[in-house]
Amino acid sequence: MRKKISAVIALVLVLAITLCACGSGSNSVTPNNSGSNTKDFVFKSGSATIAMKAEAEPLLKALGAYKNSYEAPSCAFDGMDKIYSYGGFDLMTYTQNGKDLVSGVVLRDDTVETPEGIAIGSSADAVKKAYGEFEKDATSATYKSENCKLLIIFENGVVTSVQYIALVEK
Amino acid sequence: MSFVSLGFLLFLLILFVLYYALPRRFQWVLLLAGSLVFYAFASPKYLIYIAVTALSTWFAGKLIHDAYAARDAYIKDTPDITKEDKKACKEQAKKKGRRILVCCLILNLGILAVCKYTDFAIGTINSLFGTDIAFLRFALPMGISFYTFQSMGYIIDVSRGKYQAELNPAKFALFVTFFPQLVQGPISRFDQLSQTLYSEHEFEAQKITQGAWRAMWGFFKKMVVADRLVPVVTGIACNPDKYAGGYVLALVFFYTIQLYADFTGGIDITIGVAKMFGVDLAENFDRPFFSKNITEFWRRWHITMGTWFKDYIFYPVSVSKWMLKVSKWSRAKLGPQLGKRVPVYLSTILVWLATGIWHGASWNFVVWGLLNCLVIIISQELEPLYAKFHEKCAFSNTKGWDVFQMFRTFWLMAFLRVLDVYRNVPLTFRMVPTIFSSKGWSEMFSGGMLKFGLEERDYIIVAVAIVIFLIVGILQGKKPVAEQLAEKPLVPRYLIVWVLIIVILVFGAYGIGFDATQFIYNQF
Amino acid sequence: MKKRIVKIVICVVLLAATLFLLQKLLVPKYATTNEEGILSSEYYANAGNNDVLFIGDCEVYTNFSPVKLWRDYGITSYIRGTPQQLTWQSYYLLEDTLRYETPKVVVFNVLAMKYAEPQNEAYNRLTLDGMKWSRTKLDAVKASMTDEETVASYIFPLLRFHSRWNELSSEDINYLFRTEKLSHNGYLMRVDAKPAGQVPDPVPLPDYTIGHKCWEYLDKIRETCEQKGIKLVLIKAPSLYPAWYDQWDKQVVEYAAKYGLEYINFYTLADETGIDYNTDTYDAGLHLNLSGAEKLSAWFGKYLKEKCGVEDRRSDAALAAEWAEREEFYEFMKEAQYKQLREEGAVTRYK
Repeated sequence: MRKKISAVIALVLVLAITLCACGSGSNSVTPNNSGSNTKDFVFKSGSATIAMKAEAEPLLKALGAYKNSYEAPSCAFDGMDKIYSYGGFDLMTYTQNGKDLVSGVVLRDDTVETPEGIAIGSSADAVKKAYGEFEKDATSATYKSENCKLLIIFENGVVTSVQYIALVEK
Repeated sequence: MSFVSLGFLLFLLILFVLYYALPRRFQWVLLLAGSLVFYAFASPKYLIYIAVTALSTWFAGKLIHDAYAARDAYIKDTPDITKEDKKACKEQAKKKGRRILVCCLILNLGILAVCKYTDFAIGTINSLFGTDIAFLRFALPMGISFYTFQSMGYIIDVSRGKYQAELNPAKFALFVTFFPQLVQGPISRFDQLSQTLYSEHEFEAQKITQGAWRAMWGFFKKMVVADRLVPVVTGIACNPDKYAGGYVLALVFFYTIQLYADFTGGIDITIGVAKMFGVDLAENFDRPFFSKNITEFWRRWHITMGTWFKDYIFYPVSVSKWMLKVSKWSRAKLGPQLGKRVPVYLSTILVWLATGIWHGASWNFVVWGLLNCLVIIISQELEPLYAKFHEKCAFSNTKGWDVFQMFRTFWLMAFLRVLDVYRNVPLTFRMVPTIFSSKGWSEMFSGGMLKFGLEERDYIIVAVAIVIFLIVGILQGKKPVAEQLAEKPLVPRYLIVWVLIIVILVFGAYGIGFDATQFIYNQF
Repeated sequence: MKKRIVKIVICVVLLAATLFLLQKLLVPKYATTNEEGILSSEYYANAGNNDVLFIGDCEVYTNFSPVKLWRDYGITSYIRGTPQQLTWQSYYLLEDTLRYETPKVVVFNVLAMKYAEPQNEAYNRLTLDGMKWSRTKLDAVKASMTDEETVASYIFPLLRFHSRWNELSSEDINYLFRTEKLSHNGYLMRVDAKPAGQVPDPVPLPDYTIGHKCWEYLDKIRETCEQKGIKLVLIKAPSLYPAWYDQWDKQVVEYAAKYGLEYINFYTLADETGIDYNTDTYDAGLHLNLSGAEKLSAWFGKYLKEKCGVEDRRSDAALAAEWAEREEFYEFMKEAQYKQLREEGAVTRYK
């Protein structure tokens, strides 16, 4: 009799656990086009370390004189989108709650490079070594960190554009 | 499907029209169909779980019913049965009933335990032993804590012979899945609910109207007050490094208001909606912040949960053979005075441990449960002192003293409740004492409280709402407010209802711009 | 029983009336702030007798002047454009317009082809709230909604704008039962100038493929025009920013060639049109000001007359009278803006 009871109890426990396991949420991490990075991607120029969504004012001071600036009414946010062109890269900002924040950095020529050593003209293999794998024969690679999307565009296996893009809610 | 959604209102409207249009004998069937549709929309993947609980509990009830029926038939059909045989027959049926009960409890409480507490156990093991076992992230079906306890209450009552089992599986399924009470309770008793749930209901305009008013009152509490406070509560609790000191006191206060408005508002919607279908659910709150002490508070707050634990854990444990042995031992070792307290307090600790665990799979809730227990035990121990105080101090028998006690009970419960919102127990115990520091106080009153997305006008709305809660609470003490409203002349009656509808639609914290998660995301 | 039903009906009607008034109070008025929001609804007072219909985003409602087209060529036109008007919204606005009239020519600005998905709830509201209710509007709402939006909030705007109780101003009271006329047959005038200066190079994109949804709705625009015997002209307004990539342009050129459509990229015709980006734009090259819009309209009016055969209707007395009124309002607004520019150094209001 005791054995019967034990068997029944064992059966119901197995049933219970099986039932729970049936509904288990997907735990698998969907692989990115590339590796994911918990440390935020930043761009450095001189003494300035430019992180996405950082306040622009102190960075503009640290970067010094720009070659050109352009302002355009923002589509996604209130305020103005601004683009500051420096030697080798452009810095973009957007307005939020009255403050200008960094929305992006675009490398314009091979005189500058990322802290990980990637510049326009770098090879796809160098990008893989620096940031991780991406799909074979891809024409671009995207790497995400907490606040930043790093977009690298290739042409014939050579980097033609490097862009830091802030991850912002619309 | 959330109560606060147009989808739910549309669902309710369609069900309501069909309910009173169809022949009355189909009403309970329609409620069952509606409840399954509600669950399918809200939690489609997990329909199987509630189905397993409903089916297994019904089946267990049927088996127990058959065993008891066989016992009764045997005793009846054996006119010359001896006393011993009769006793043995009853004992055998009782044992069989208990075995079936135990299987049913293990299955359903097992499902609840595994779904809700596996990761809690894994987390605890990892913390204690430095292991790195991966979390299993089991599914948590909607309402599992409520419908499991409600079903287990039923099967325990059936095994005790309190009432006969429901032999109609569809009717029993309705008891388990009845949609208004799935999300937040109340935890109903079968003998009380079945009478009203399965009977045929006429279209009673007065009852339906009062049900609608009750539901609207619930929507007001949830949408205008509770949902409005979410950004403040999460903003402070999720950023302990930024918001300490005065902010913690604000958190204690606003979280309590939010919890009160959300929980009692949800129950008002539940009871109001059920009433519109002619079904009377048990009250779950009785003006809890009019309580003068913690014991009274727990008789007025989440009443059905309290009585469930009392009937199915406290009393059975208190009168169990094991506890009787403990009582005997403690009286012998500790003397009669102290000795008689031990079994009561042990049972109380067990109940509060279970209450804490039931509330959530984290140590925060366990500690919260045990702290409540501690305060209750201390209050009971200090009872003679309080009695002396009341004898000596005339003021303690005045309304002013009552108000002070209510104020004290509010803050006591509010401080205990702050364990709900901080990440873990050590953080909570670190943050609460900062209230007595100078941190945050000046910042808070010079615009600090406006950093969470709420403006001054939002706080004014909350303040006005609290005053309204107090007034309604005072009125409720005399007679249910819905009945008082029904007695009013037409114009003021409809004016009050209109104003309520307009206030909900205009001041409700719903729609674009009120997504609390969006706010939190945008904070960074 | 009857008495009770009557009481209930009266109560429900009174409640509905209160909610209707509340809704009127709480919805944005677009009279003195976010004025672009009025564009969608202004059409209906001017519906009918428009031989040319412009559909598109801010690049149409700032860059073309229907009054100039009338003055120089006797061409009647309307611009159904709203901020960030998406391709499918342009299609539905075309469908909506066809309920009132059938123009001879439809001009579609292709910038919106860069957006293949719903973009922004606020811009959706600016485009859709002003549309009169019809099956077309419902389809437009469903095609445009972002994840956070609901159809119910469009049917009952109170559900979306209830939180404006916190922002009510005198504008909401003053414009409770009236609207402010701000456009000139859909043209939103700006007289001030801000030179373009050096516009940054475009930022390269990983993918220039125009989305399937855009082609689907451009096909619908084209097919609708074909069915109705309307000539469809695709254009790209002469904006310097945001970038219109050559790779996008190429796809539109191919589409136009495939279906025998005219496609005019005005950016390449700056010399012909006489656009001077130092004097003819009010925001450094995004949109043309009055001077630029009139230059562009002067060129395009000639094109419409000679290449599309659009009639000169100045001899129609009734139309002439209507357009005389429009011209008067046009001159009034022009003068008001120039006055503000002289006195305050900037244009901050439309009139």
